[in-house]
Amino acid sequence: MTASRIPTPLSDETIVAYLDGQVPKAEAAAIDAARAQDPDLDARIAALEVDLVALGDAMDAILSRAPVNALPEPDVAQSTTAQSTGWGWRAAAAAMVFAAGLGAGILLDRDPESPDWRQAVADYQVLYTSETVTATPLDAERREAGLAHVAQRIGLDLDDARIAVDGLSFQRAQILDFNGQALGQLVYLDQTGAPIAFCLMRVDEADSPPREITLAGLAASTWNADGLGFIVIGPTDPVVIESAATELSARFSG
Amino acid sequence: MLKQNRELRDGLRDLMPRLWRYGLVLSGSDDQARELAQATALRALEKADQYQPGTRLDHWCMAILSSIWKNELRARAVRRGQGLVPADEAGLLARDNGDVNILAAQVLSQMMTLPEAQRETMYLVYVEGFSYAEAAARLEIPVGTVMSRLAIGRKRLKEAMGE
Repeated sequence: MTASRIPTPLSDETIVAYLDGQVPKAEAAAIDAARAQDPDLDARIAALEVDLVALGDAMDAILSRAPVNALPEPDVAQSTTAQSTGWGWRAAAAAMVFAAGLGAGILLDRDPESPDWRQAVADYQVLYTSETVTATPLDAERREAGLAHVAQRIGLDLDDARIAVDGLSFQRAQILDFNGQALGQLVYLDQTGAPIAFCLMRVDEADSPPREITLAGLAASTWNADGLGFIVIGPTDPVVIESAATELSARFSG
Repeated sequence: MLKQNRELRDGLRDLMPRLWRYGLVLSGSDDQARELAQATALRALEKADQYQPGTRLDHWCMAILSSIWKNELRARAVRRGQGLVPADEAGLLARDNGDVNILAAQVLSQMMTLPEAQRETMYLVYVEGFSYAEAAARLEIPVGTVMSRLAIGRKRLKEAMGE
C-alpha cells in the first residue's frame, strides 16, 4: 500500500505542503489514498483547505482600490498627455520625492539646499495639467471627505463656504507630506481650465500679508497667519491668483 | 546609473498599489498603508545603489516596507491605539462607490483577524506568490516555521470563513 510511505500521524505542516502541491508526487498520491480511507485524516485536511482562489480574487479587488495618492501622481504618469510629452516619469518621480518629503532636489535638477515648502509645492504644481484634475473627478461626497481630512490633519475649520473662491471651481482636497509634516492641498480649476492649488501647512513663521511671487514659472501668492503658511499657485493669469489670494487670505487670517 | 535610477522609479511607480496593499495587510489602516508605501518608495530611492538590477524589485521593496513597519511605524501605531484595526473599519470599504466586492471585503476582514505573523506569511505565500524558501528568507525564519504559520493561518482563516 502506498499509505505506508507517509509518516503517521501526518503533521499539519505536511498537510499544508500537500495542499500547496509542495510534496513529491509519490507522497501526494499516498496522502490521497490515505485520505480516502481515513475520515479523520480527511477531516484534518479539510480543516486546512482554504479557498485560495477567493483569497487571491479578494486581494486583487483590494489592489484595484489602492489610492491614487499613495504616490500622488502615478495616474498622471500613465496618462496619454504625460507620455506624449515625456513628462510621465518626471511626474512620477517628482510626486514620489515630493510625497516623501525630500523636496524635488534629487530628480528635478533643482537646488537641493532649498527646503522651502513653497518651492516644493511649485515644483509639484508645475506638473499638473487640467487633465490631472478632470481625468479622475470626485463626487461631492469624496470632495467633502477630502476637505474634512485636510481640516483635521492641519487643525483648522474648512468648509465649502470658507474655501470657495469666485471664478474657481473646487475639485479636491488631499494631504501631502513635506518633510514629515502634513501639507494640505486644495485643487481648483479656473475658468480657462488651469489647475490652481491652494496649499497650507503649519509653519514656524511670523504673520505676513499676501505677496505675489513667481515660483517655477508659475504665478503665486503666499502669506502667513496664525502659525499657518498659505500659498495659491497655478499656471494662470497672475490677476486670477492675486484675486484668489485676496479672497482666501481674508478668511484665513486673524 | 541614470538609466538604472529611471528603471527603479518606473518599477516603483508600478509597485505602489501592491506596496499599499501589503501595508494595508500589515497595518490594517488605510492611512498607515499610504504612509508605508510612500516611506518605502523614499527608502528605495535613497538606497537605490543597493538594489541589484535583475533581481526582484518587488521582493526588495516589500522587505523595505516590512522593515519600516516593524521597526518604525508599528510601535507608533500601537501607541496611538491604531494597531490592528479591522480593515473594514479603517475606511477602506467606505471609499467605494457601490462596486464593493462584498466577498473581497469579508475575506480581507478575515485575514485581519489573524495574528500578524500568520497574516504576513499567508499574504506573502498565497497572495504574492513567494515560495516557502523565499518567505523563510524574507521573514528570517526556518522553512518549517513558514509551514507551521501557514497551517495555523489556514486553520483560522477557514474557521473565520465559517466553512
